Order: sequence, then structure tokens, then C-alpha cells
Amino acid sequence: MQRDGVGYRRLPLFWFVLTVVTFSSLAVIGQRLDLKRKPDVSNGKRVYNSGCNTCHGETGKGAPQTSTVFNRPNTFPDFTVCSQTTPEADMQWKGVVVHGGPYKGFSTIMPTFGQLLSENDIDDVIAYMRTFCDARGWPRGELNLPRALVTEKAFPENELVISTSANATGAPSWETHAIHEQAFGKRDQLEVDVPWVLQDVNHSLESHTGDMTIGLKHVMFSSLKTGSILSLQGGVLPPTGSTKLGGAGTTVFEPFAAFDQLWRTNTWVQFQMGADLPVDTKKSPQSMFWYTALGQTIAQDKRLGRQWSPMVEFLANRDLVDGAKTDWDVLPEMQVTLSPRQHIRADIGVRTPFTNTAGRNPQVQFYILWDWADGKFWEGW
Amino acid sequence: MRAARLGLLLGAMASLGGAALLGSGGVQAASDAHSKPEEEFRTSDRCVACHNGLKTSQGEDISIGFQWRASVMANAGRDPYWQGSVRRETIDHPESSLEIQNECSTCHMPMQHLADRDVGVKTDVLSRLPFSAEKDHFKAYKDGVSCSVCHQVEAKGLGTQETFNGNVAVAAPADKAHRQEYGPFDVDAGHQRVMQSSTKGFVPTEAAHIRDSGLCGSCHTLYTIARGPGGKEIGKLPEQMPFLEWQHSDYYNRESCQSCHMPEVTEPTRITAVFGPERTGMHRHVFVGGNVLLPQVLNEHRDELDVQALPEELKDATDRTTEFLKTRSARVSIADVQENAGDVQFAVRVENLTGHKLPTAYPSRRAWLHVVVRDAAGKVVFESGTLRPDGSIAGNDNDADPKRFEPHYTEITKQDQVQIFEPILKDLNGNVTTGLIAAVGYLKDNRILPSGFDKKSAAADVAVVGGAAEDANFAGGASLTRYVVPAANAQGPFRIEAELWYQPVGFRWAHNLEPYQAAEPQRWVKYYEENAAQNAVVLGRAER
Repeated sequence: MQRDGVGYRRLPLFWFVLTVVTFSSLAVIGQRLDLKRKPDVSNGKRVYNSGCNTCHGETGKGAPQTSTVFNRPNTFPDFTVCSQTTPEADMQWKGVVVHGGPYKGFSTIMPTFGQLLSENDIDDVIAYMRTFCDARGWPRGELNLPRALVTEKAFPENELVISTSANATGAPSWETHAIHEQAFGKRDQLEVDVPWVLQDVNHSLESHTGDMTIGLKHVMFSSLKTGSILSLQGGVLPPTGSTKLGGAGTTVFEPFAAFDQLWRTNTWVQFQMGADLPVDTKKSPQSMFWYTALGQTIAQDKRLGRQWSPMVEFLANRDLVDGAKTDWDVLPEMQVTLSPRQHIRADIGVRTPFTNTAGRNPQVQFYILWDWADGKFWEGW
Repeated sequence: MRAARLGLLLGAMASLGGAALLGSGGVQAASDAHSKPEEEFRTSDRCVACHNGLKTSQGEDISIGFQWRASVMANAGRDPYWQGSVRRETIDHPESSLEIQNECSTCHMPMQHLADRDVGVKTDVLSRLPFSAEKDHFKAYKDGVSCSVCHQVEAKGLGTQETFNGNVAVAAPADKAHRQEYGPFDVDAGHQRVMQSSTKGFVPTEAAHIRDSGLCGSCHTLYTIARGPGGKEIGKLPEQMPFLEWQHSDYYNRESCQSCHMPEVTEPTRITAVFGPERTGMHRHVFVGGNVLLPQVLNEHRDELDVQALPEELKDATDRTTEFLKTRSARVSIADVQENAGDVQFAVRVENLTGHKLPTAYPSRRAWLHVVVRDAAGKVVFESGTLRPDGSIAGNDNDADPKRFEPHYTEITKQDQVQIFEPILKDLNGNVTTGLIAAVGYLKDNRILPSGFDKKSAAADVAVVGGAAEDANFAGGASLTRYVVPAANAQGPFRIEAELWYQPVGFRWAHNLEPYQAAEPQRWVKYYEENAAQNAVVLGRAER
């Protein structure tokens, strides 16, 4: 590892952030992958049929409209539709059961059961409601870890993300990505990333679309029990960008693997490893990247409320040419859920080059994320 | 918020425009721009989901929501007869149109009315008609005597003049997030929170007065302001007095309104389907009474009337009402039969099994004796009180001519004489009328008295009027009518059949709407004609 002057000076900061994150992971009990006790599904069935079925129906599809009468919100769930239920973590459901619909920005008709049902009953009934989706193979929402600023997660999502990075020092430069991700089937996701670059070029601000990405992700493996999920993605970047503003000038293929691991303490790590493989290597060299995000999610209100996810990313890029050196960056950041429904989130961090810092400026990075499958942008607040 | 305000503004403008279109010159339409019934009340859709799915151990469905929504209470604003009558009165008294609508909305659109009242606004009815599915189903004005009306009424003044005419006090909010919703049971904190959260603030609170007859008496004691030329107030008609009739009977000390009209479930049962504990003494929310016609009409014209109750629920309500009338309202007997050389003489006794006059409440209701005498060969030698297919009664002067009516008979000797137990209204000039606002009193009131009702000590508002007042055989609990049937050319022994029939809407009370060329009266006459043959029930019968 090359340690130039700037990187060396920032080493203490890196270790400080890493230490804080690591120890906070151990100290704070966040969402748990496993509950303290194994839910009793048969008790959950009893609980469900003693009250929940009144509105949600015995089969989870919803009781007949003629018996419930109230105008159903468009968020009224059909628990048998796996694509609606599996992306949501148990804690999302529990928040609604304990505190009622408005707690997550849903209808006020959904009552608050936290003072009527015991915690065990609630855990049991959620476990029973999970049985309404009887298809296997859907990755569970618990494995949908907080999105890092750079490292791609393995979970297939339905998101619109607007992400911006701006030079904190040096010549002004902004790069904004509009990213649309759409899950389909049990395990797949289509992604389109359209960047827009604004840069100071010889004291003149120039802007252009960057190289777009079209990617297809497939979940190879996921296990709620082990807290693991592995995906592969193949992407293609047609040369839509300006070479003057960083465009490759040639079509680039970008395969990568993403592996995420969640632990019982709600500490997690996300890995992404891949390569950029240009068609014309004379215009742009082949390169590899290896990204790691290590973080901890802390949720308010006994794990049911707003989530704060401090994390740090370690980002390595290296051109596959003779004599190339690996660029290491460190990116401490904080993601927070903005809406009670947690479908609007924001993340901000500072990406600092750690090696080969010449010509690479620290950047402030930020995104706002909208999980549109959970509702419209202005819903759920 | 801006959109909501704009909606209110447009709603107010629509109300103004709608009233202007009535052609009821001088009417100042009420605006609901300042009343917010949604803050004071909740429409039933907030309640019934949890209070459905309730059954007894025998499998009887006692779901509060299902039973209520098929009841007359739930459909008070939807009632096409009421709508037609309101239109008729506003045409008769255009200068008082808004006052009349406001008065009628008190019990038929109580949520809207009470919210309007509390901000000093008069409620307009007609601009809200017709109801339609395109409009929001759960507007306060549509939801009739809804859950959060009765269950929010305060105990203050119940059973007294203070709260009659629906002038009840509504529970004040404890704070922005909590309103008391009264019920008969003590509710634990967990269930309180469930209901409070799901209804946005209504906290179930135990209160004994929810089972007080005075609660029912607030709407079921109705005085109508009589108006003369120019809308001038000329009197006060005691239009519907079942509560005061009950108070003057010996039922006052033994049975409440709820005990008959909301029959008790005689086993422990849940009152909510959401983790409800078993309760002893739940009362069915059927509100069974005497209006057997309305559920039929609602069922037949579901779309036109924007009906929420399901067909089977309305069918059940019709059957329940019919059964209630047949088994709980009257007993008929024949006594003192004498077969003479030239006639047959006998008495028909009708015993009132209810705790109020029979019939009671809205003056369109009537009961009458249908008496048939046959000779030894089975040939009819006498018949009085035959119901015709159009809903009229053969021999009833009032059905033939709106200016006349049948008197109370102590003795009937001719076939064109019919003993009809009914109220006949009079206007300021002493003429027969079915106009409630024109009526200043009664020409006749011989509705059968409940047990213990002393007609001599009865207050003027519930007094017996006409020949029955002096009839010694017309007393508390029963009425006895003598029949002297000419039978000179017939051979006995004679067979006597006596039936007490009942109609919720008499022929004249429907057909007097015919001249009013407006949608609601015309629609009602059409509905009445369609159902004329079914618009009557035999309450009791006897043979000899």
C-alpha cells in the first residue's frame, strides 16, 4: 500500500471511524436476524384468527369488502402476494402491529395492538402471516441491507436513487446519477443508471451525460437463517458520455458479484467485486474493483422506528495495466430513513482517497432513495 | 389542506346553487363550510369492520354492523319516503324550506345536523339528494343514525323536554386525540387503545345511560312546528310520541325501549371480532320496529337509493320485522257471540302487547280490523276492512276521499264501516291533512293504548282524540269493538274471522304525494304502488 503524504495523514481518521463503527456494532442491539425465541406459528394462527382475520381474512387475502366496509387504502395488503410481503422485514410488520398503521404511514384504520397483545403473540402472528406466501426462493427483506453510497448491495430492489458526488477540494466537479432499479420475478432486477457530469474544464463549466449503465442482477443464493445473500450482475455501459468528461469512449461490460452478510447484532458487511471490460482497450483500460461496506443499523423505538445506519466503505480500484497502482478510498457515511414507512432514505458521506491521492480529490457524496414499491414519494410520511 | 378548503368552498357553493334550483324563493341555503362532522363523529365504516363476524353458539349472526346497516336507523337519510315528504313540505311551505329541512335532518341526518347545529348552521337536505354511489359512501349526511351518534350522546337531559326533537348533547372531546364513545361495558386499556387508534380518537367508555330509554326518546319524541301563511309559526304538533306513550304506560316500570327493539342475547358473546372478550347482556343492533316496507324498498332499488346493506341483510330485516309485528304487537280475540234471528252479534277485542300506542310514531301508520262472517255454507255474509291490492281499505272514507275519514266506532253494523286505529291530522281550519307542517293537531287518535295507559290522565300530547276518548271499551291495554251483522237471509251457524292488519304507510299518506311534481315524491308513489300488496301485515287473528 502506497502511503503518500495526504493518505498517511488521514490514517488516524480512518482507524477512528472503523473503531467507532465496530464497537458501536457490538454495543448496540439493533434488529436481530433471529429472535430470542423461536416463534410459535400455531399460536400465531390462533392469534390471527382471533382478530386479524376480521379485516385481513382467514387466507390473508383480505376479508370480503362487504364485511369490512371501510374504503380500502391502496396499501391494503394481500399477504399471499410474495412480491409484496417478502421484501418487508418482520420489524416493519411489527411496527405496524404494535403502533398501528400511521406509524409506518399506512391507514389509520389499522389499530394499535401494542397494548393488547404480548410481544410473543405479535412475533408469533407475524411468523404465521409469513406462511401465507407459500412459494420458496424469495429473498427476505431482512437481507435488504442499507444501500451504501458506492458499494452495490445484493438484494434486488425497486428503487429510484438520485446520487451526487461533488469535489470537496480542487476543481469543481459534480457527477449525478439517476438510478432506476426494478425487481422482477423472485430473484431478478433490472437496473438503469444515467449519469450526468458537470465539470470545470479549463475554468469553464461543461456538462454532459456520462456513460449509461444497463444491468441485470440475479440472486444466486439467499438465506435468512445465515443472513447471507449473493448476487451476480452483468452490466453494459454504452459510450454515451463525453470522453472529455470521463467517458470511456467505448462500450464497457461490467460484471460483478455482490455478497452481503447480516449478523444477529444487525451488524453487516457488503462486498462487491467486479471488473470493467471495455471493448476497445486502447480507449479505456480494463480495470477491477473491490468494494466493502461495513455498517450497523440502529433503530429507534425498540428497533421499530427510524433507522440510522453508520457505515464505512473501503473502495479499491485498479487498472489492469502494467505498473498500475491500486486506488484506495475510504468513505465513512450515514444513512437514515426519512419517512416513517422507511421508503425514503438519504445517505451522506465523504470519500477520501487513501492512496494515489494525486489528482483525486476528496468528495462529498449524497443520495436520496425512494423505494417506490412501498408507495408514492409523498405517501407514508 | 388547500385542496380540502377548496372542496369545502365548492361544496358550499354547490349547496347554495342546489337550494336556488329548488325554486323555493326566499330560501337561504345553509352552508356546511364551517361545520366539520368528521371531527365530531365517525361514519359507520370506522366501526363495523371490528363489530362484525359475531355469532351466537347456535350460529345466529349477531354482527352489529350487518344488523345495523339493514335497519331503519342506518337508512334514515336514505328513506325515499322521508325524502319525498321533505320535498313535499318544502313545496307547501317554500318560505320555510330551510327551517323544515333543518328540522327533519335532526334525526334523519343527525351527524350532519348536530355538527351544523354546533356551529350555528342550518342543515340543508335537498341539495344533497339524490344519494349516489359516485359520491363518497361515507359522507356524514348519508350515514343515518350512525354508531357515533347514539354512542356519543351525553346523559344530560335524557328523557326530558331538553333533549326531545333530537336536541341531544354530544360528548365534548377530552382533547384533540380523544373523544368518549359510550357503551354498556367496561373496556380494558388494550381494547380502548385499539379502538382509539383505529377510529382516530374514540375511546370506549362505560356509561349506563346508553341503555336508558331516554336516549331513544330524544328522537322518538318529535314535535313539529306548524306553519301558516308566510311561514308563520301557528302551533306545535306532537307528531311522534312513542316515548311519552311508554312513560304513561305500565311498561315504564318494567321494560325499556332497548329490551324490545334491541333484543338481548341470552348468552355470553363477543361484541367485537378483534380479540373480543365475552360479554353478558349484549343487545342486538337490529332496531326492529314497525317499518316493514322500507327494507323491501331499499332492497328493490339498491342502486337508485345508494344502499349499503346487502340484499340478504335487508331480507333478514324484513323477515325480522314481519315476525316481530306478528308475534309481539297484538292479540286478537272474539267474544260475546250471539246468533240471533236477524243478525249475528259479537265483539272483537284487540290487546296491545307493545309498550306504546299501536301503531305509534309516524302518523302514516294504521292498524285496522278485517272481519269476515260466513254462513254455514261458507258464503261471506259480511266483510269489513278488506285490503285492496292498491293498499287502500275497502270502506275507508279517507282512502276514497282525502277530506274525509273513518270515525272511531264503538259498534259496526255495515260493511262500509271499518274500525281503523289511526291518527288523523287536522290543519288550522280543521280539515284533514297529511301535511305535517300544516297540521296543528288531531281529529282522531284511536291508536290502541298500551297496558296501564290511563286516557283520562294522559297529557294532551298523547291524548286519545275523537270517539275513542268516550268509548268505555277503549282503554289502556285493549280496544273492544262490537259488531252487529245483519244475517236475516243467511243460515247459521256462522263462522267469524277477525284479523288485525297493519300498514306502515297508509294509502292516503302515499298518494297525497302524487300532485307534487318533483323527483322524490313521484318516486315514492311509484315505489308504494309497486309494494302496495306487500305493504301490510296481519298482527293477530282469531276465529270463532
